[in-house]
Amino acid sequence: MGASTSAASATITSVRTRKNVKTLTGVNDDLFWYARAVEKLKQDALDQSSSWWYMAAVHGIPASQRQRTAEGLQATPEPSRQDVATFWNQCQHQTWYFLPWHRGYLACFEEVIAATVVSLGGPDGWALPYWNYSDATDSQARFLPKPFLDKNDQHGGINPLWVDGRNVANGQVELDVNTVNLDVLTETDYEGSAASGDPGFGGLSTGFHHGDTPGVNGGLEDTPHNHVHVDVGGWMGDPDTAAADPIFWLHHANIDRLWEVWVNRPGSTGNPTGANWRTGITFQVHGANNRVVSFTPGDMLDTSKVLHGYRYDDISDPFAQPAAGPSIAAMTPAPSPAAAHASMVAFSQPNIPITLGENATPIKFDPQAHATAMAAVPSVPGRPHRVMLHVEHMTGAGRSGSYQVFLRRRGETGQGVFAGMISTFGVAKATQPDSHAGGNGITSVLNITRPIELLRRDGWNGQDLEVTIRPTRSAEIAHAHPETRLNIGRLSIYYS
Amino acid sequence: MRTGAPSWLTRTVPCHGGEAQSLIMTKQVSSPDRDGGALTRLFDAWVGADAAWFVVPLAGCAWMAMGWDASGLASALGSAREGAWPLCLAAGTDAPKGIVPWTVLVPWVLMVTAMVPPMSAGLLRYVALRSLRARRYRAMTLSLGGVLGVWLAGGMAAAPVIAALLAAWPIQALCVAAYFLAAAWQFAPLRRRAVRRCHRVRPLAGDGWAADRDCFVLGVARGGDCLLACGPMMLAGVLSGHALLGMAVMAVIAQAERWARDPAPGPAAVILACLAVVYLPV
Repeated sequence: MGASTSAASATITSVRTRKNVKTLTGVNDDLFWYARAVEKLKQDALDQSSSWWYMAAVHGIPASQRQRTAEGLQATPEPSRQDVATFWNQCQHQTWYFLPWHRGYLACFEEVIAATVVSLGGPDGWALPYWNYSDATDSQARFLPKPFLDKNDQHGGINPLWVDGRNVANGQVELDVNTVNLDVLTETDYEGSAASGDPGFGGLSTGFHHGDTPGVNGGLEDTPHNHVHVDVGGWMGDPDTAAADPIFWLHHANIDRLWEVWVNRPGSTGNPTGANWRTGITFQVHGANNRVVSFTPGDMLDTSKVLHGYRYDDISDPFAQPAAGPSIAAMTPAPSPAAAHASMVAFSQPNIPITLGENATPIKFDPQAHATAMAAVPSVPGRPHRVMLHVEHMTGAGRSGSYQVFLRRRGETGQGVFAGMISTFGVAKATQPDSHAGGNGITSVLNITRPIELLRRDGWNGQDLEVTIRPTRSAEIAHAHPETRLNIGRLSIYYS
Repeated sequence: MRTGAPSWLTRTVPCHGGEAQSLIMTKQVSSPDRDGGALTRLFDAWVGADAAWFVVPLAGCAWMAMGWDASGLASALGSAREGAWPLCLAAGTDAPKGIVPWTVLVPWVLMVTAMVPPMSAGLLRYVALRSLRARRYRAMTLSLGGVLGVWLAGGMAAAPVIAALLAAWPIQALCVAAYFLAAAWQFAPLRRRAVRRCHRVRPLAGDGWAADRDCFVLGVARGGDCLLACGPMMLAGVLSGHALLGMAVMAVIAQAERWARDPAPGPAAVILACLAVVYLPV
C-alpha cells in the first residue's frame, strides 16, 4: 500500500477534457496514447497496483486462479491478502454508490494511464475518451468503435484494444436499439425507494452490504449501463472480468457523463444531500505511483475537483433538441418515487425458469388490491399513477444476456406490447451466497405505465395479463454456453 | 431507442417550464390514503420513515424486563422459586441448587425477544413490501413467528442441558466457558456461512396458503441461520444472567456483522473473550 491522499482536489489550475471517441482519429491523440498505455500496462504483473490486471481486479476478478486462466486473465502473482481484501472486488452495483464509486475509480485509472503516457514520451494531461452510443446524430453510434474491433494494429501486431470473445456478428459489435435508450434521464430523483418500488436515477439507498433484499438496479445502472455490458459480451459481460476490456473504461466514462447530463438537466433534483450518501462510506483505490486515493461520494460531485479535474466536451441534454427525436416517455416528468407508496396489485407464481424461445407467464391481479390502489388516485379515475413491473430475484449462472419483455392479454398469441428490457449482467455473481447481494440475485424494475395504458386502450380488461420474456441476440449467445441458466423468482406489478 | 407513442395517446401539459407530452399522469398523488385503515397508515409511516418501528416496542419491553429481572423479575415471574440464579451471578455467588429447565427458559425467551426482532427488521420489511397490502401484517407475523419459533425450540432443547450443567458445575466457570466458546465459535466456517445466509430472502407466493407457507418457511430458515450464528453467544448471555452490559455488547456485535460485507471474526472474538475474562474468578 502506498502513500494515501484524498480524491478531492482543492486547487485545480486546469482540467482535462474527455472527448467523444468518435471525434478522435487515433493519430497522436488520446486514443492513440490509450492504446500504447494499455499495451504497456498489460505487460506488468498482477500484483503491481498500476498494472492493467490489478486495475481490472479492483472492479472484480474471478476468485480462483483456474477461473482466471480459463478467462484469459493474468492469474498470478497475487498481491498481499490485505491488499486483496482492501482493494479488489470493490465494484458497487445495485446500490446508490454505483455512480460515485465508478467516478473515483475512473479518475484513478485516468491518472495511471496519463502517467504511463508521459512515461512513453506522450503529452501531459491525457484524458479518457467516452463512447456515446446514444448519439442520435451518429448512425454508427451503436457500433463498437473500430479501433477496438480489429485484432491487428496497422503494423500487424496484436491491437491492445482488441479483446477476444466479444459478441461479433458480421464483423461488428452492435448494441441493441433498446440498449441505448436514455429515458432514465427524465427521472427526477437520484435516490430510488424500496417502498415505492422505483429504482430512481442512481439506485436505492444501501449500506456496504445490501441487506435483506435482492439487489435492485438503479435506473442508469440498468439502462443503458447493464445492457451495453452484455451486448458487447466477452469479458464485458461479467463484473469479474469487465474492466479487463479496454472498452469498459470508455463505456463507464459515458455513464459518468450521463450523470453530469442528468445533474444539469431541468427537472433533476440533483444528487443526494444526506450524510449517509455523501460521507457515509469511504473508498480506496490506487492512483498513479502506487498512491492510495481515498474518496467519499461527496468528493465526487464536482468533476473539476476530482483528482486532477476533468470535464466533458458535451453534456447537453439530448431531449432538449427536437431533432434528436426524443421518446414520449422521455419528455414526461417522472414523479418523485419517494412521494408515492406503491402497492403490489398483481403477481406470478414463484420461480420461473427462463429458456430460449418465448417464456410466457400469467399474472394474477388481486381485485381488492387493485381496487384499493385505484381509489388512491382520485385525480385520474381508473388509472394508476405509475405502474412498475418488478422482475424479482433473477438468479443464474454462466453468461449474461439481455431479454425483451412484452405484455399481452392472456390467451393472445401475438407479440404484445413492448414493456422494456432486462439484463442479467452481474446475476451470476449476485447468485453466489458470499457476494454483496448475499445470493439473493438481482431485481430489475421496468416502468410499464405506458404499455399498460396502450393495452387498456386496446381493450384489455385490466385483469388477464401475460408477461412474455424473449431473449435478444446476446442472450441467445449466452444460452449457447451449456452452463448458462436463468431463473426469475417472481414477476409482480406495483401501482402507485 | 424508443421512438414514442401514437399521438392519440398523448396530451400536452406544462413540463419543466416548457411544453411536453404526457400519457396519463397529470397530477402528483398528494395524500396517499389507500384503504383508510389505521394500521395501514401506520405501516405507510413506517415504510416512509424507513424505520422498523414494529420491532422497537417489542424488543424494548423485553430489554426493560431484562433490566427488571436483574432486580427481581425472575422472582415475580415465579421462575425464581426454584432459585433466582441469574441474580446470584450479579451478587457474585454460585447458583442455588434446584435449577429446572423452566428457570432457564424464561430468561432465554426474554433475551430472544430483546435481541431477535430487531435483527429481523429487514426480513419483516421485505415480506411486507413483497406482499399484498391486506396481507402485510399477516406476512410479518408469520415470518417473525417462524424466526422466534426456531429460537424457542432451540431454547427448549438447550434448557435441560443448561439446567443439568448448572446443577453440576459452578455457574461462574460455566459462564467463562460459554463466553470462550462463543469467542471460538466466531471462527467456525459453519457459523460464517450462517452469517452470510442471514441475508437470504426468497420469492414469495402472492396469496393463499402458499403465501402463508412461504412467509413462515422464510422465517424458519432465517431463524435457523440466526440460531446457528448467534446461539453460543446467547447461551453465554443466559448463563451470565443476561447482564445488560454484556447483552448490549452482544447486540452491537450481531448487528455490526449483519451490515458488514464480509465480517471479520477477530474483533468480535476478542470482545467476547474479554467478557469471559470479566467472569474469571479473582
